[in-house]
Amino acid sequence: MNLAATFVAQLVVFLILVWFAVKVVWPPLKKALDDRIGRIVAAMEAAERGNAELENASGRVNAKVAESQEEVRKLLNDYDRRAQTIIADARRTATVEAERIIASAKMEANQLLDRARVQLRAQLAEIAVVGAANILVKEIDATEHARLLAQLKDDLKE
Amino acid sequence: MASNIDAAAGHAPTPTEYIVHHLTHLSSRHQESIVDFSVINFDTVFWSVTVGVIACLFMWMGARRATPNVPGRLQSFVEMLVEMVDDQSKAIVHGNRRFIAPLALTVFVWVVLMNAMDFLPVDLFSTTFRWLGLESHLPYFRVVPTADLNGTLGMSLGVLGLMIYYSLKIKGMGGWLHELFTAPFGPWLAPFNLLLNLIEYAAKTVSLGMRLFGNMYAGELLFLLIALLGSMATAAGFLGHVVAGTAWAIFHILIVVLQAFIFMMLTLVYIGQSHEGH
Repeated sequence: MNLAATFVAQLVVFLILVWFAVKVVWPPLKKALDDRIGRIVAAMEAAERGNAELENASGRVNAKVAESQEEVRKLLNDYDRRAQTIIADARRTATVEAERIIASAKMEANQLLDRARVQLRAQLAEIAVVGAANILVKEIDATEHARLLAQLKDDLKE
Repeated sequence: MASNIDAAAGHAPTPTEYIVHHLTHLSSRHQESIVDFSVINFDTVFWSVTVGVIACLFMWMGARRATPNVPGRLQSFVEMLVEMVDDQSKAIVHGNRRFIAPLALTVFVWVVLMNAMDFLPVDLFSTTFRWLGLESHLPYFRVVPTADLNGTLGMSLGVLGLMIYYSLKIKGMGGWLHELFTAPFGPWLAPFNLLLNLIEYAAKTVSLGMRLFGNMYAGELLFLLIALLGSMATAAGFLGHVVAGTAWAIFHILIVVLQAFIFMMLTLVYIGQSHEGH
């Protein structure tokens, strides 16, 4: 048998096998590997996108929360201010009313005082006349009497 | 030209001499009996260790370059292997797989690479040695460690050791002995149970080693027979060799991977059985 001839044939077979492996076995294997890598890349991108979206969303939520807090603060301020105004108004109204009541009460008191004074004057005159009559024990001219009284009244009025 | 080479080689071997030569191991001395543990087949040891180192380097490179980011093709390939083996071990072994899954991965990659040595031209090394004048130092040199019964039975003995180890670990000495004597026929047939279990262990071990050896040995033998076609040094012989050799080599791709897969699966199955009571 010829060892060289069979070795040549074996080398040819080996080269064909290598060619076969490169042409037929490797491509589907490569495709499977690349598909797997592609899936991993896609999954990682999706995860990254998800993360970014989450970050966005949490940013939006934070902004919204800050905004509504600001709004609440503004509303509270408004109400506070309005309450202050209402209190101030009420105080002013009350003061005015009190002044008015005091003034009218004062006026009434003055009137009462005046009236009492007039009555007092009248009674005093009468008492004086009675006193005088008693002292004099003597009829006095009624006309003169009335005139004197009126004069006295006038004098007292001043 | 043929006569030149024949003259240079002294005498051309007959087909029988050729095949016997290619099926003889480079061993410490000639093996006389069927079982002789004093004989070491250097070629099997050399190639199984070399290929094992290559397998470890390959997996190590895949692991070293591993990133949590987008993997390269090498990492992706190793990851696919790991995922495949892990899925299988998950389905078969119920228990702690911290050692078993990596073991199965190692077995698979190692056996694939050892089987793949069959793709090399059968005369590659003997012809190279003849050119380099190393013929007298390396008269025999077989390159497929799994086509040596010593290699495959060595591995299946390792699996037997793991079967016993996991039986003891999971069931304890008492539990395992109890199972050996009582399963499957109950305590009244204890001797038969023991005999049956011992036969089962032996059958598992021998069949595991023999199956891989037989397939790879047959594949190698067929390559040798095809090589005889080419050695006729005629156009028909050359053509026949190329056609048959190519067909067998391409088919052999399937056998190489399939036998490695079967060896890995059976390793897992046997170890998985050690985890479960009868």
